[in-house]
Amino acid sequence: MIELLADQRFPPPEFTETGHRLPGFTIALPRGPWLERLDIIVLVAALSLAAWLVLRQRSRRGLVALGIFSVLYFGFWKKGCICSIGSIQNMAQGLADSSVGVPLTVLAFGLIPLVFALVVGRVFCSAVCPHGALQDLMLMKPVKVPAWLEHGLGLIPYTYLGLAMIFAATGGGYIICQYDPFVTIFRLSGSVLMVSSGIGLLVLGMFIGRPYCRFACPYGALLGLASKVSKWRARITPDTCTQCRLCEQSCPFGALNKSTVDAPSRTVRTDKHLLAVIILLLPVLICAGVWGGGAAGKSLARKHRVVSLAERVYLEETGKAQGTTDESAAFRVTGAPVEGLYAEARAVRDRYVTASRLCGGWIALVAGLKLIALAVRRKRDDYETDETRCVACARCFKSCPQELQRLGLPVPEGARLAPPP
Amino acid sequence: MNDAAPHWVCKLALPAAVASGLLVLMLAGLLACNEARGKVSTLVHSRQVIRLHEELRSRPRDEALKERIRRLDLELREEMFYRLELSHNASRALLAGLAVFLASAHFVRVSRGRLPNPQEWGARKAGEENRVTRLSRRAVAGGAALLAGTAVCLSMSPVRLPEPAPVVVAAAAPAFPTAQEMQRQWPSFRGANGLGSAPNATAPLSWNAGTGANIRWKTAVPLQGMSSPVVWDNAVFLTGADKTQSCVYRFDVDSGALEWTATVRLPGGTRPETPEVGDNTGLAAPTPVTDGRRVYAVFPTGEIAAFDFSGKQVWARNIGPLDNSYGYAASLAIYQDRLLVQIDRGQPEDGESKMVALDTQTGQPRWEAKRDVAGSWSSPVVFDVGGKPELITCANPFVIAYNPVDGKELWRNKCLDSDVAPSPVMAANMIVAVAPNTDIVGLRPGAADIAWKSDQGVPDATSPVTDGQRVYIVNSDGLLTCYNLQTGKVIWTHDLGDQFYASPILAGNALILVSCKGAAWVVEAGDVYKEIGKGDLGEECCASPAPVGGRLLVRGRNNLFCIGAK
Repeated sequence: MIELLADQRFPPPEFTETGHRLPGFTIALPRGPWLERLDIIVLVAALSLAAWLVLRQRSRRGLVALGIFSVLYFGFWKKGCICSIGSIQNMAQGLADSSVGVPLTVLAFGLIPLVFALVVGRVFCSAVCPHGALQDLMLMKPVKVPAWLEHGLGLIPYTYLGLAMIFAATGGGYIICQYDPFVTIFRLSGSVLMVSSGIGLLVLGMFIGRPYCRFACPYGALLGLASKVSKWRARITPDTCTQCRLCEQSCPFGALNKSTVDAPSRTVRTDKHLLAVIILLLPVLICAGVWGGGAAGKSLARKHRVVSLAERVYLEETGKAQGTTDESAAFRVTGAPVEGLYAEARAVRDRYVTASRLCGGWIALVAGLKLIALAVRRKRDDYETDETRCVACARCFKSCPQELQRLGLPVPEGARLAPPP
Repeated sequence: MNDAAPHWVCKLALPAAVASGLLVLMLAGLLACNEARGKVSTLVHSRQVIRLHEELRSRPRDEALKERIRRLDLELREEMFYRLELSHNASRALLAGLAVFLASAHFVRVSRGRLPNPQEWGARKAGEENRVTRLSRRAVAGGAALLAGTAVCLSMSPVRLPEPAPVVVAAAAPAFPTAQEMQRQWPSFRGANGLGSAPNATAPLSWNAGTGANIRWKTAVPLQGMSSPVVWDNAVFLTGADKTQSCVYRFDVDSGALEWTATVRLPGGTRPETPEVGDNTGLAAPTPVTDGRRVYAVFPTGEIAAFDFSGKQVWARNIGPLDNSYGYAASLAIYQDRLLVQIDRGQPEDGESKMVALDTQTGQPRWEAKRDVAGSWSSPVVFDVGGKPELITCANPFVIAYNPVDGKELWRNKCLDSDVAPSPVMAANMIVAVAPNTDIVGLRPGAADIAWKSDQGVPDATSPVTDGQRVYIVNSDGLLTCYNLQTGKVIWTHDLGDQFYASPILAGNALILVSCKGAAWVVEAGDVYKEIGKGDLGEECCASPAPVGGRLLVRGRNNLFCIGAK
């Protein structure tokens, strides 16, 4: 069976004279309930396995095998749906609109990886998320992204998260799913634009590690926040850090924080004056974000079909637009009064404005907290993974001589080893 | 670092990586070419196909041309499916090639990997990390500024929607009139509550259009219609339609001047197809209704519209299709701010019948109730039953009562059959409904049992009228029958010897009947037949008269008459 996009469908041939009867449309049946339960079981098992591989086994090879499984099962077999990244939109819509139910499977896919992140860090990103695993497998020759650029681009996932919540909660659509670059690859079908985006990101991912996870993924942003409080997470060294610096270049994702033990003294000073200014300005920043969000909301509302239809009809009614679109023509056939449409559109627009204000405040808060974090210097005795950004890929493990010694592998010459206990 | 891979694997890895990499590139190129060439739209928009179709329009019987089109269509479809198949197969092969490439590249990397040497990186420089942090802060601030700029840019192109007019609470009139206000007018088919009775009116006792006696004025109605006049203060409303337009007219009660004509304009400017209707029904049979704020009209085309008292259309929508045999004829009813439309079509099992309530201000649906009844021509009526409103509807085989507020069914009684056209009346807690040519039925509201039945003088089109003690019915053949309202016992009958489609009305104590020919009888309501007056319109009449004060408004085939002492 060949799946076709809407723009690949065309009128059926006219067989009226030959008496040929066209076969009816075949609609793919939804996955059976037991398969959905199986998906949840597989998800929990994969997360548990990933946690075990990262924390106990410290096995990169095991994670690669699990990643291949996830790409095949959650990606190609399940065609990328339901995915945890998109599920947060269902939850947002369910929270905003009591008439919208959120299926148990969707809820499970949204919440279980978050619960794991709260306890064991981003093991979901390591090898369970098909998007992350696919990019991880593609990484060939990592190029280091400058730290300042990494921080600047780090705002995007939070912005994307905020926008996705607005659109889902107000009925404007699921933008994470609409603009998912990898689902077209898993389905071997999609619009030219989305297929190109997916291929482009994969090619980029050969040199820049996990570009979607780091600079776009809204679910990754949530998991990063959750993993901040996790008790257990991936550690570079299985023992004591000897400040040998061998791991310094091992993370292709810029998720490694250097030790401050050997650092020149000036690098550990907190700029207290700057910190005070940023903390004092934070409420102002949030207020500005709320105002900016509200101002943008009236434009973002255009994404909603009712608002876009109402605007089109209004432009037609006032002579500012010529002719009709398919949507406006269909609306006019119903005979419904335009005032009703306008009133509905105004109500939707107002909801957008409210949601956009929240989103603006959220983005401003994130930017403010990032600035605060950059003004504070933390003392670190070890080279550590960054609790927010580390995706627990286990690449750094074998750069540590302690790990090599633990595995019975040759230790680089001159590497400092921890003294035996 | 190459501890994990056997030597031969590492040796094979490079050629495998090169070969699979080339294969991936080749397949990617093939897919890109296929995508560029294989637009499906080429089939739909193929110039050749379009040209051949145009030729076919001028030569519709050219079999050779048809065969050419079929062949070309088949070729294009075959090519399309070939390309789709190719695309899917190439995608799968590309994925397989990519997997080989990734695996072999991994082994190449492993075999060539070398240990990191921190000595080469040099010592950590003082100030370097501060510089990076400074840059990072600027990048975050810059990113935030960029987002703020985007928000400002977006705010410059807000959604363009008309803002609602400010509501001036103090000056706003109530959304709908009180029941007392309605009682003082003649706002709908057969008056307020559809009883056909105006207790405070007085009837003229004689008139003659030929001599002009007691004809206050007579005004031509531009388009014909079977609908009856409705009146609010000094405004008389009528409807008329033909195959091109559906109109509402306002006349002045005192002078008879046609003050305005309003044509229904549906959004988009299209008019629904005109259904087939019988000559006795026409295209404007349903009587309009008014609540003193607006006048509402429905037409068999499915058009339903509201106009304000200046003739400006407030809203209009298509509520159709309303096609049924004979043609749609049910008049509108109104309850507070709900416009009630009875749409009965087809057979009970067709599921096409429904009762709809629209918002009088916007035309938006307030509720809809499906009805398992056959097509009918009867009008819905809202009665006050023990202080609560009940919307009573009649259609084969049920009398059904609804709550006009939410459309919830209150009760039903299976007592009707055939093509139901007469509307029900109610007085003294007794509802009288008509099963055409079969029975007249008396039943209590809410009761499952029928109080009485009578098979004498049963009409097929006209509705009964009651003075609270008796029921008066004239059938199409002119047999006027008076029944006891509570028992259904016939009190008297009188043959008027004419044909009647217009339902009788009561003005005060005078029963007024107008025949199809325009002849009129004024009969005193009571236990004996007593003719107290006669009139002649001089033209055919199928519409029920509207009594206003001491005057009577009657619609003839071509004219609207105001009868009363000059």
